[in-house]
Amino acid sequence: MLRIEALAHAYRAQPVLQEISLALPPGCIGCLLGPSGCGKTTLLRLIAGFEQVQQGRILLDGLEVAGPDRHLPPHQRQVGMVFQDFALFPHLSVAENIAFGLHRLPAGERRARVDEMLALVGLGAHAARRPDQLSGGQQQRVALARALAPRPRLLLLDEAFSSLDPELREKLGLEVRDILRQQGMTALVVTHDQHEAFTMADQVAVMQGGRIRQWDTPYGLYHRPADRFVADFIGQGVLLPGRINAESMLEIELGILPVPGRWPAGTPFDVLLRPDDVLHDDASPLRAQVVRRVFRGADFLYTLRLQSGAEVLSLVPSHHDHAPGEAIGIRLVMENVVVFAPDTAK
Amino acid sequence: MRTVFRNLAALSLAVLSVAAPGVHAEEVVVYSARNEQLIKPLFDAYTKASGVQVKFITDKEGPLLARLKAEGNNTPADLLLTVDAGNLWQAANEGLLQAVDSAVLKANIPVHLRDPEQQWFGLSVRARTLVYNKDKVQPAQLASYEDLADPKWKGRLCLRTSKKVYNQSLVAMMIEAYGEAKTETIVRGWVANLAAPPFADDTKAMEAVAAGQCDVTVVNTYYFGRLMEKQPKLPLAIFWPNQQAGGKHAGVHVNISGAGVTRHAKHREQAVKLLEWLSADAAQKHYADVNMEYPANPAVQPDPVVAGWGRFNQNLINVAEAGKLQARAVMLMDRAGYK
Amino acid sequence: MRGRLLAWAVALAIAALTLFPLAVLAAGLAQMDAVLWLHLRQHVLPELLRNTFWLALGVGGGVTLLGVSLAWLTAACRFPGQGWFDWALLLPLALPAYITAFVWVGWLDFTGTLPTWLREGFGLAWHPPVRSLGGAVLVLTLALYPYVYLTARAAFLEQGSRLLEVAQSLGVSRPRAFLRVVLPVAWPGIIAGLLLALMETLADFGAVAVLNVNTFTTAIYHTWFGLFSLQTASQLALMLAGVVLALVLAESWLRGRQATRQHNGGRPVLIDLHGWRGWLAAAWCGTVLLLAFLMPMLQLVVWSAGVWREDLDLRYFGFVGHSLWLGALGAMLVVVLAVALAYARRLRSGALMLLVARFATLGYALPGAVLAVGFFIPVAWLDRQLADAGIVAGPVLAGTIVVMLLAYASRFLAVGFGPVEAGLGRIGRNLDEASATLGVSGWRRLARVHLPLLRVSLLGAAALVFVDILKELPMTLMTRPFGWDTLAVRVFEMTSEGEWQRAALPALAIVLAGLLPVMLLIRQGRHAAD
Repeated sequence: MLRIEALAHAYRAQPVLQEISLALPPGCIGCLLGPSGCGKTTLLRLIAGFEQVQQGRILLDGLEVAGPDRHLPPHQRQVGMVFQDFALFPHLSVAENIAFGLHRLPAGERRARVDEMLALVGLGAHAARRPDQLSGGQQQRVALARALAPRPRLLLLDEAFSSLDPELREKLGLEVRDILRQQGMTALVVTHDQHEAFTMADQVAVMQGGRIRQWDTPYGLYHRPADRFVADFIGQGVLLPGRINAESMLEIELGILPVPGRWPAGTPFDVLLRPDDVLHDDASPLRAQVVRRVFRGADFLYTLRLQSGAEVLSLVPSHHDHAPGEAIGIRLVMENVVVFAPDTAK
Repeated sequence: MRTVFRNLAALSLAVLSVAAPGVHAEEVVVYSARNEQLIKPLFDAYTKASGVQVKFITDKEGPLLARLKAEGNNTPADLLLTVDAGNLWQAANEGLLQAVDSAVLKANIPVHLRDPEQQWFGLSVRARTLVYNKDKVQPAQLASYEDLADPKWKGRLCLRTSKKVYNQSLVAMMIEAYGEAKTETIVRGWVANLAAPPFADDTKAMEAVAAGQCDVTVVNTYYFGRLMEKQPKLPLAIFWPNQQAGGKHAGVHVNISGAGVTRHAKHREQAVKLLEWLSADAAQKHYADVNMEYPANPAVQPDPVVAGWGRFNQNLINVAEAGKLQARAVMLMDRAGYK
Repeated sequence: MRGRLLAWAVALAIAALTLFPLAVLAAGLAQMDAVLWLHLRQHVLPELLRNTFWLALGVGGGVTLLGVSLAWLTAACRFPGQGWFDWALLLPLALPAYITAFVWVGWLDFTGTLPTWLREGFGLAWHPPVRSLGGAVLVLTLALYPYVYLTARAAFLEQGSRLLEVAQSLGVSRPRAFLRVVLPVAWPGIIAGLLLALMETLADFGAVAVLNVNTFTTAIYHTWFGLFSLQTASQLALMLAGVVLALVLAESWLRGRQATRQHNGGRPVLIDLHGWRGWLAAAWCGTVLLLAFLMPMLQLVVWSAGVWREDLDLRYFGFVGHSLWLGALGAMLVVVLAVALAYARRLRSGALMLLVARFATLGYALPGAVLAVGFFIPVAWLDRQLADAGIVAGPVLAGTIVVMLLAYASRFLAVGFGPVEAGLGRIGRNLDEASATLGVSGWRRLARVHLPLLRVSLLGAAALVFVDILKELPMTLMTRPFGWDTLAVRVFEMTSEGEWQRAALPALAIVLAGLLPVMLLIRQGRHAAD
């Protein structure tokens, strides 16, 4: 129900967004993920209507709300937003904040809706409190309830969890996702935190330099990155160089892998090796030396040095306790092989 | 930041100690309501002539009197100098001045221009008289202050605000001459004839007359002099009222700028010497001329421009009445609606 | 325990600066001159109460309208000239109100420029009734709107555009959102500025005298100088102080209900005003600036050009030096006292402490000469005791710079206290607790934690006080040492003789000297926003 067509935006002759196109079906939670400066907040503000579209179109439910000749003002778009600093109205109580967007409803309905929202976010006991008397997590929930109360067509969340503690972030992220699902909300989340993206979103757009690199499910981004940037940005991994041999297979230090397409022998490729692609196998003849390891509770993340000196990462269950300097056996287990031409995106 | 603060504090203390006043032998301290630029040259001349330092502070009369009262017997002031008789009378009334028995002063200053109790003496005379628009009014049409209340002047009179002491003195003297009831009728008549709300100063009133907003106003002569000096082409002329009349209300109303020795003066003799010097020829000439006023000493001739306005009969009621009746005059003006 | 006593001691000592003069004035309440009071009640009070009421209402409404609209435009919108108007609109602060009044009378009264032109050019014998209550409202509004502009702008810069966006995302249009959200959140700041403006209005004498409007303050001087009764005048002044205290307490109560502001993240996003809207905004700002500052300044320059050759001599260095010195020292003292008082209040907040703090700032609303007398009397009394006891010969306290500065503090504490209190309020208490856990509390905390954070508010407060001291007259006249004339005294010497043109030179010097701290104020506002 949100469709963006060929959106481009520049700020003082510097391009901020280029060739942005995406479609978000109803009930879907999308995410704009990328490092700071990639333009994701600008895109959000364009969708909300706080900036004028210079090139391209934005359509909500098939209706063009923004284009070079058309600009529906933000308060008429029925697009709700949760801000990074929550921006609760300090002079109103929690209940009054939530009721703010409901001014068109008669008093009775308004009260009912406010109670409904308070129950939804579990803050019924705090209805009369003022924002400065709430904790960060509570404020964020009020901000969410306030944005949801007027039943917007689309909900935008702008780094809504960045000002919370990390443990709170994941917990609240799941809660918010459940609430959005339950309400059947279409939502677009902006974040620079992958875990947040993976927790909440059905579809994620990885953005860089004002462009969408890939618009895919989290699984797809992780296992089928479209280019080197996505591969690098999402999850962890290393790129190992290799060459196509006479049988059109890619030879790398750790073994031989099939690649899609036919390539002449000698063509160089880099292969993406995720930590879960490299397994610890005592029986394997391939050995690598432990450089360092990070204990992560259920597993160790080992950094291993190969014969050639290249380093790979390996995720190993933590009861395999090998100290740095030890040589351990490893083998490759790859479901999908992701390769890139050396030093250029595919 | 700390060192800056410390240095500033030290410097301030240094400044403070320099500015603390002391009491020296050869000096006179004057509290003056007369402006600095008018008295400084005179005091400098006195210092040159006599070698005695004159220190002075200027302020409005009200605060000066309050200050004298608060300081009591600890006051550094030797002489109080004002620009009207009313405040001198009030100073004497509050016991802030002392009597000075001086033959020189008695000889130099006419009796109606000094305190009957000899606590203060006028040093210059300012007449408060009529100024009219030459193009619109013939001198024959004018007669007296009270005549301005006549309905024929409706919408043709401009006056300065009643809050200024000069008008208060004028009305006070009129109360002495005519009695309160008649004076109130006159003032009500004036108010009825006003062409515009009372002006903040005499100069503005005269400019209004020149511009045609009204035809006649009542001002101090020196303001007339100053204005004509700056803009000689203005169609304004002086008229001396009440010249035909006899008795108490005969003559043009005059006020004085004068001085008295303070009760607790630390340099009494020097103060009296200064006062006597101010009442004599050279100082009198300067005192009056610098502000286009008339010298109080009848033996001294006024400035030629001032003399050119013509001779006139002064009202001879003692100017002390201006102070005695001031409060009543102010209340009268409030009642009459003269703002 | 020790901290508590210290806080009270500090607060009471500072409040004493104002309480002593008030007490002196109140001492006269014992004897009421029945005749005078009857006269006042019948002939003076009705008109002046009416005038004062309408003046306060008119100026209050005017400065709010002007201050808020201009602050919103420069803080939250983009239009031609915005960057320049942003600071220029504060400039009228440096101009004394009576100068503005006199200049306006000079243009609009019968003999003034405009009506003369109408008469000679078109035969139209009409002039605007500028010497009236309406004229006074206009002049004072133009002179005092910067107080509201300053505080409203700070509030809008902090939260304005973000709150607007939130409200829009909830379906509320921009104009409605401004009224329902932005304005209520900015209200405490606006009220603080409004209060200062009203206090100045009530205490103003010069402007209303030129415009021939009778107010409380003119009646006080009238009773003192005309009716020869300082006592009755003091009683009137106490009445005025009572009115102001009620206003001040109302403001505190209104402000107290609002929670402390949360700090806003993100850059302020400006609303673009396209086409005619932008030019309209520029025209509004430009008109106000023209009427309130540029034209009076031009007049001052023209007049000064005519007289500077005769009047500008070596003594001017003295006048300027004295003015700057007193301004700087006075501003420093007031800021130090304001910090001490605000801190005492923070440590022992409560109704009684609030009352003490409010009393301490009353000096601003009393007519200057009355406060001067009230301040001077105890000082002279102390001097007399010292002299009678034989310790010294002659007065040692009266006529010293220290007493002069304390008198300024008594008068201008209100001006410094407002910004300092607001700044301190923005520092959350968790900062106090955090520093306590690091072993820093009490005075060290004040120095190492609060003062650096407060620096911006302190500079702003100092700038405001500096400008006010430059313009101040009655306390300067009464408490200055021999030979310590300031620029303001010079202006008085001229204007009391009706020499308005000659007064233009020192008046211009005052404005120019005041421009520097006003610029500082503006930069402070910008830094606070970043």
